[in-house]
Amino acid sequence: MIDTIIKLWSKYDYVYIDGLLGTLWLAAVTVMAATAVGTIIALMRLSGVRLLDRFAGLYICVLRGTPILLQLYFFWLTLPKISPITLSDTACIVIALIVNASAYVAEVIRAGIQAVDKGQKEAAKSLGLSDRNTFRYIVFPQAIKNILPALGNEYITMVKQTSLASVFFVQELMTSYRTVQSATFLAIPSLVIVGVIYLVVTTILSKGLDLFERRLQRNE
Amino acid sequence: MGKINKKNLMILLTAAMITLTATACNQGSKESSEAPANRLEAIMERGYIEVATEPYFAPYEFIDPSKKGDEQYVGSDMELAKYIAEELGVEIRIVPLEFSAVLGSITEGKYDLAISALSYTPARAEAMNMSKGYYFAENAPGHGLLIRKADKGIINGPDDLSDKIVVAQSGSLQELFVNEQVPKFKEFKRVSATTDGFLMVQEGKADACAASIPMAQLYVEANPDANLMVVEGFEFVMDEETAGTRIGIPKGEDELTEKINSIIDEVLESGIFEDWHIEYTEYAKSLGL
Repeated sequence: MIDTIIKLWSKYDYVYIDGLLGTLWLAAVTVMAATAVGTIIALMRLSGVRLLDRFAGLYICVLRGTPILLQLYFFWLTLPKISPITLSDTACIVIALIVNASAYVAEVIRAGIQAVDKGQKEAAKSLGLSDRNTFRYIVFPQAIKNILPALGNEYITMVKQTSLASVFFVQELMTSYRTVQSATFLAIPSLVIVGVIYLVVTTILSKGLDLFERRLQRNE
Repeated sequence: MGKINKKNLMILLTAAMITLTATACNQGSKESSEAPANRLEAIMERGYIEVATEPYFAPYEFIDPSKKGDEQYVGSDMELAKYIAEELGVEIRIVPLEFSAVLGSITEGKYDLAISALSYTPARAEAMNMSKGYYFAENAPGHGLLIRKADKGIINGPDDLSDKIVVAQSGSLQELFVNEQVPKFKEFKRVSATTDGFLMVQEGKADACAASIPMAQLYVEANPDANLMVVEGFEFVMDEETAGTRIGIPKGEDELTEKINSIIDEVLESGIFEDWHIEYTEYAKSLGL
């Protein structure tokens, strides 16, 4: 077994490395874009404008209430039909991943902002700060501390979530597994290699996140 | 919560509109946006043909990991795809997908052709146009059962499966065979890729996998330690009318189907597909460790 794994790695290492780069790229793009979209959705929820709040609520409800694989299929099939520009399969999948993640990010941001103690806002108000300045100088700096670690977690989750894109042959680690498996007919050794790569990456990321979180706490 | 000024509100609304249009109704826009009368004309106009395939099916279609881009998809079906593109005078684009997605993409009209060792099934003929057969089982092994060597003599055919677990690719011809030609089984499991079915037999999660015999043979040879074998002297019964590997074409595209059928006639006459098949069986073996 170990013998086979070593042979497999030495013959097809570049396939796995390409896959790893694909996975990291996908996860990074998804989380960044999802943060932007998610922020908008969260602000809509907190805006106090009923229509916006309702819309954001529905958006989050649909995206969190249906499986991500279903969403991938749905976007993959319907997006090219409504899009004015031609979208590649990879583009459809990336958009689907972003939209899905944005719902989760929106909730992270909303929770982060709402977790700031009410008394803080009241105090700011009683000191005569405007709503805008209250948010900017009082609420936001505290909220960001709640939000950033959760966003980091989202990135780690995303690294694993992107494996679903292998159904559509987007270049990422799980696709590498399938590629090598289909060429060599060796499944378990290929799975072990990909599993170890995932584990190494997620462990490094969560350790990094731990350090980051401790730094945030130091300023408390 | 802080007030949101007008400019921000406008941005929010625009974003909301975009997402709304993206998630709301998505039908109907297809017909109006397409100027060419049919898909064949559309292909000629855009200058390329998009072929969907599930590249985990050696020697028909598989991946050579040492190559890049469309080059990495090799196999006898891929040669056929290139041949068709050449005959049409257009470029070829291979779209690799999971098997169920290959079928779905054709019924949805997302891609032009499915060349993925498709066999005729009534359900498929209902959902898409199917070409003539381009490869026939008479002169080559058809579909049989992959089992563990330990079950040699115990499983000789479909009648011996009454207390066994059978596995086949979901949505495949083999699935239909199991349903129609296996009188009794303990359990019938379905997987998305045939190679996953082989793996299940290998790991004892299933006892027999219904599969194309050439493909099963390749797997047996690549994994001598797996102690697998193909049941000798047994093949699923193929209907005369429905025999042959075919190409899937979006439903109603009769001009394209006609054109593909005439190209298949040429291929059948020259017998070139058989040569590709032999060539790529050897090729597939060379990729293993």
